[in-house]
Amino acid sequence: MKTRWARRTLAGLAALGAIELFVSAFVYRDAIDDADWDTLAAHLEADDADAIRLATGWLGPRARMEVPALAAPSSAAGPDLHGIETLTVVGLGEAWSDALDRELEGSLRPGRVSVDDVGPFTVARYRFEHAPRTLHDWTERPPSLRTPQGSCRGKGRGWACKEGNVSVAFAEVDYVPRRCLTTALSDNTPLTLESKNMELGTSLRGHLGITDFNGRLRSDAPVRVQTWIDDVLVGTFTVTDAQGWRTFVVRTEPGLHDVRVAITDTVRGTWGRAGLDPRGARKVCFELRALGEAP
Amino acid sequence: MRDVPGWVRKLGPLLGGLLIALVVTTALSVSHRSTGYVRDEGIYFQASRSYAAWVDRLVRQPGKALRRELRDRHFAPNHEHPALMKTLGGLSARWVGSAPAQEDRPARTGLMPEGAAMRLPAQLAAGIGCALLFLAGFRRAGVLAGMLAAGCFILLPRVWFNAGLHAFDVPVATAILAVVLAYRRAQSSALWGVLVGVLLGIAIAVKHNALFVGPLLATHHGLQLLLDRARSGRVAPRSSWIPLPLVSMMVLAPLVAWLCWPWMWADTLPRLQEYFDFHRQHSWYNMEFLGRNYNQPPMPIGYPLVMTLATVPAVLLVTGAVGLLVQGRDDVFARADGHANASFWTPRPASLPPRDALLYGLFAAFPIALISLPSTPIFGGTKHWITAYPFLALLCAEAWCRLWRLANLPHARRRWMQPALVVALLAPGAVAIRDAPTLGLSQYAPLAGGPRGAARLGLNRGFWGHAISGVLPEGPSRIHLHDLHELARRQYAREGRWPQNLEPAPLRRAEAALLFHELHMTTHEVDAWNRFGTTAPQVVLELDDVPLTSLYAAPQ
Repeated sequence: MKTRWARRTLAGLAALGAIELFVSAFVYRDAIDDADWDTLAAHLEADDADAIRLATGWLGPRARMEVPALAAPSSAAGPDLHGIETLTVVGLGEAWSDALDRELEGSLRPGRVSVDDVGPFTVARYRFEHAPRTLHDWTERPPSLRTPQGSCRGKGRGWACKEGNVSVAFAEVDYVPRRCLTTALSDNTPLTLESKNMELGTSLRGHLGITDFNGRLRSDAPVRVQTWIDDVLVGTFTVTDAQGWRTFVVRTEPGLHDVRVAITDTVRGTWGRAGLDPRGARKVCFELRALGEAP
Repeated sequence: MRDVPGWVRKLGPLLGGLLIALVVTTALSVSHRSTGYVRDEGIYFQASRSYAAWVDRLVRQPGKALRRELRDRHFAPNHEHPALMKTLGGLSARWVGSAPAQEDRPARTGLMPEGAAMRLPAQLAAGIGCALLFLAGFRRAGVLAGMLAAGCFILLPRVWFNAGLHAFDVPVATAILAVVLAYRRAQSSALWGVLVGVLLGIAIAVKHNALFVGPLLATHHGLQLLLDRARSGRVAPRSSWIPLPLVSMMVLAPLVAWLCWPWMWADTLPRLQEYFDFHRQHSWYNMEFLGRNYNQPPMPIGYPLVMTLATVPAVLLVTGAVGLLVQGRDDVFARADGHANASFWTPRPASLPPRDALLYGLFAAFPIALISLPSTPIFGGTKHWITAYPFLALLCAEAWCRLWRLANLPHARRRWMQPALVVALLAPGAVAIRDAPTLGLSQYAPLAGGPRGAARLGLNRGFWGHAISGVLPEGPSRIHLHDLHELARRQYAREGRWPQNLEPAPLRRAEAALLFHELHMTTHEVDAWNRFGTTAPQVVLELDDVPLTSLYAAPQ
């Protein structure tokens, strides 16, 4: 009995070693070569989807380097998967991902229209049924900005206010890059963002997050977001860093309306093991879009 | 073996061990010339120069060198870690390394670059570790068992990577192995009973991991006494309850460790307290695990176990488990009838079962269990339980020995089957090292899917800012170093390996930026996007398609 068991165990070990060696031949080599990237870039150049996203997140740096469509801000740092009708997803042997599910923020997955193999890549095209369109995006067409001390002046890629600076920039919230209005103003200063006669659809959809998750040993002071439409307060949200990329939605009547948002960062700085660090690198990252029904 | 002269039979294993040590040290030294300097090494290089300068002073002006102010000045840098390996590294650099001209010294041409010379003692320690494993395996079941034991250790990609660095992790693994093997000999030899204390002192002088060795060996000794009693019904003589090896470790080890660390010669107790506090309240590193970043305890309890499964070839883990199972079972049930000869000097004479598998199992499991504790600070790297791996290797040798004995195969079949099995056991690790000889920190086992599989699972891709081969920009520029430590950069510069016109700069003034990819580094990557107005890097260093390091710059 022992002899047979020992012989079988030895054979089993040899088999396991051989399997690992066999698998090694596939895993320890490049699966993508330069030509594959060129082919993918050419393939996506003609893609007319509203958004292109990467399902295989870890490929990001090389994908952005090789494929301009994947380096676009909307692809690399989009706010979510709302306000688009068609979506192209690129992956290494995968046509969807958990990260994309999170970007749906509770909505149903879009219907898959087609799947193509482009070299080692899978390029899948999706269509959202009854998806609202993006009518207005404050990161594309920014509002006017002011603080209690007056209007903020446009300066380079941002604005200079008396109490600090605002810019349209990339920011990291909960380890994900986002493109948004980033603000760094003194404590308790409301930043008012206003668009007169803004085209609204059925909802205003926005996000707010607090940057610098790298230094995250903290529970930072909250940020308050108040939204007015035609001078009527329609929503107040209080967001903390622990909520990550916090979504807020306000139902709206289609048409032209005055939209005003006040963002108040109550106390800047970051809490760590040693207490409050007032020079903490955190910023507030905010984006807002008007979404409407598909025509 | 009948025709082999007696001296060959005696010296053969030693020569075999020596050969293995030589081959491993040379291979590490050559291979790691292309391995970038990790963050910690930058600090250790600087400390090593300072410590070695003190030794130099000690030889020339012992009176002055022994004065507290001078001694403290030399040993203050990086005094949170013991000085032994850094001192040896510094001396090695003085003896065989090249060095640029200094204010007080002309340039020196050595056998190798200064950094490579500083790495040499740690590489030698890895070689010695392999030699010890070979000897232990050889004594158990011959040459192939010895080679298997040595190979099971050094052919683990993470061990290979760490073994080549000017660091303490593989040296302390070797030192702990030496202590445990000495403890085995000390069971029946008073000389080894004394030496085990000295060796433990040296191990503690390498790194604090060794502080746990004494209590673990005492636990093993106590376990043996209990098992002996359970199996034979007789109690061992009282004199063997706290025997010479344990006393030696209690008395000699602290003394030797203290002697090896001149920083501790003054204000010993407060400095000792500071040392313990530093490691007890160690800062929490960021570590990605299954797609989530952890930077405050508790890490998931399964982290070290999952990372071990993901980084060690499965065939070695299974072999080690078989060794523990078959030999451990025998250890537990072994009869113990030789108590009469047990004494303070020789607590376990040959008539008592050695219970090696329990010993190796204890030392293989403890480092992983320790890191698993929710209260343990987040250290992150697999190197923090690398001290388990020599004992995994010994368990593999135990399995080898027992299985072939039980299998009872004819000699003619064993002659080709045994080498073939050694190859099958060691090849997966060897192939993984060949795939990433300088990027072992980012390498994963075949059944985890290699680097791509690990990236898919959301496991860490590296954390030490050393992967810069082929990434640095050409032409004059100011570069943001990101996770590349400035002291490591200076070491490249000292050796003429850093582009002359490339200056380090904060990101806001940089014309290019390095970015070492980790989940928690996304903040810095986004900063680079904003700085250069693009999300597309200009160069990406990959391992099997997985990006490890990017170079960002403004588009041309």
